[in-house]
Amino acid sequence: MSNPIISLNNVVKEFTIGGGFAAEERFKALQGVSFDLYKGRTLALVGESGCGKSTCARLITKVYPATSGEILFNGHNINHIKSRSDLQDYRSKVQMVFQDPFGSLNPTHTIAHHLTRPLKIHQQVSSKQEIPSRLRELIDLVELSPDTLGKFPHELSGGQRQRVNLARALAVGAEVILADEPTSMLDVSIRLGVLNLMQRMKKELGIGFLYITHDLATAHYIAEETAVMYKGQIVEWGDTHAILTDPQHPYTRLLISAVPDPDLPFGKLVESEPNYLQDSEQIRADSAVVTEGYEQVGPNHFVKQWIKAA
Amino acid sequence: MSHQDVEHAFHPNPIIQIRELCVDYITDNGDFRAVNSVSFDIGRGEIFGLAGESGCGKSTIAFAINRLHKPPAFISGGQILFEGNDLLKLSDQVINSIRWSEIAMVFQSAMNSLNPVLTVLEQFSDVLRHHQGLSDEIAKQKAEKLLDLVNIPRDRITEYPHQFSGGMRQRLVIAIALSLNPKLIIMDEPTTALDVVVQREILQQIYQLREEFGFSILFITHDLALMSQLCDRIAIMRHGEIVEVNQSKSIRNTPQHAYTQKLWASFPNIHEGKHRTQGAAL
Repeated sequence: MSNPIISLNNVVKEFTIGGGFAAEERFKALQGVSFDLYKGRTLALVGESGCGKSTCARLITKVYPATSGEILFNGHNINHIKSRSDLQDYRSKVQMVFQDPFGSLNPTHTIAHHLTRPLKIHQQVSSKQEIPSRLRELIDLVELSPDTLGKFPHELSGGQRQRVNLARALAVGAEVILADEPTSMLDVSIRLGVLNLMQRMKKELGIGFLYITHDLATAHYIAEETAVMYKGQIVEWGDTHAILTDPQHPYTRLLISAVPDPDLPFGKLVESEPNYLQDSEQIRADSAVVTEGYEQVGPNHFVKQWIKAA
Repeated sequence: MSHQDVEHAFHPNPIIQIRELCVDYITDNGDFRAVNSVSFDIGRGEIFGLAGESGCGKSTIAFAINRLHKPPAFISGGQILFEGNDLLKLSDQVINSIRWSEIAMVFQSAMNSLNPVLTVLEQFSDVLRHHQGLSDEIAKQKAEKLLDLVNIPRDRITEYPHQFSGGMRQRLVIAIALSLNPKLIIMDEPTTALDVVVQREILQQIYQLREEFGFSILFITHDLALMSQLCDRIAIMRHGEIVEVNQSKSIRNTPQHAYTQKLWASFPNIHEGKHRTQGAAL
């Protein structure tokens, strides 16, 4: 496999809570996280809300720095990207798409405006004359009709807006797209269309994706590799198929068991797992303990060791 | 709807009967019919699912049943018979006493259903005082029992909503909904904002409470997989109309309407093939 575009090595992120008149506390959001993103591949980062998945994306986009550990972009530590032009270059290569397609577009501007600005700011076109054809190209790429360009965000559906967001990331020449729950606010019936588009962008344009989600079902659909995260630790990682068919860590098993299975009615579930609430509580407590060691259980399947919580 | 579908929409022992319900929204371009002549029954002790995309009118029905819909929405026709009485004909005073004591509602966002400046105890006592005239002392005892039901430690009764996690807040709302032993609970996407594990915990609890108390549930979601796991019967809605109603099993295994089939095809199932291999192993 080629070299990773983005690589996280044992990244720790601590936040300070409180302050002012209240007592200051330190909260460890990431407890030593490592993963790699490759060209033309998708890594799904799966976990419940508050487990630190979005923090990873924010560290990669340099919203705030890591407390310790390193983040490498093509082998170079991103802490050393400091000058304005270097930052701009980095940000054009690493783009983000957010969960809320309504909040990430300016309601007072047309779609054409949203796509023209990044082209100009990041000097992706050599002259003004090129802009219309480039816009046309971008809008075709994300499978929207050309008249979308003249429309305002409120005239588009959630799925169409998310496509505009993807087009915007492409406009600046992104090599990596960090997609933070890009489909969770969309209706089930249009989710698949957006996922298929991401799939195409990956295959045809060689874009590397970090797909952040709490939904294992869509992760399974789009990602070659998955990392399951809980309380700031990656507890199990590797080949998506291996993780789903042969989960090792109790938290991964819990997560998979919770995905609704249309062929298994609750009547049967209640019989087979009557104490689900207590059991899941115990698994959470066990999985929250920070551990160092891990085990390789398959060609590309790793699991963090876990111990019983006291 | 074909004749056969209509048959599945009704129940021999109904708690509520919706008949030819129409709800319109007044807009600048004339009235928009959000719910178009919808009829179905919910049986006693039954979990009835209403599925469809956003904007199909499922939440509008939920609000109309309690007459909680607000202008520009208005009910332009039909009947809602709750134990034989047409809710649409009742005075405001009577419907006020029926709300919550007979028909309770649980919404998607638990934070918005709880008062942020009242403790959990006060939210419980508020309901119990208003509807049953209970003293603070008895209300507290009852509230503690309700917390036991949803597995929240009793000593947290003096805390405020923001001190609870999202899943716990939703369990609190469910406990408050159960406080007056309602016969019907309307749940409008109760777990959509929650993680899968928390969702499973809450639904399992709802299912077990239903077994214990025998109330009926109108369950609204766009997640068909979840719905066919939980519900006894399911109605699929599209553009304000019910396109198919049937037993969950039939909706899952032999969906008749093209739209239902399309909905099933629109999301990946990670459990696919599991049951087959299990069967083969046996």
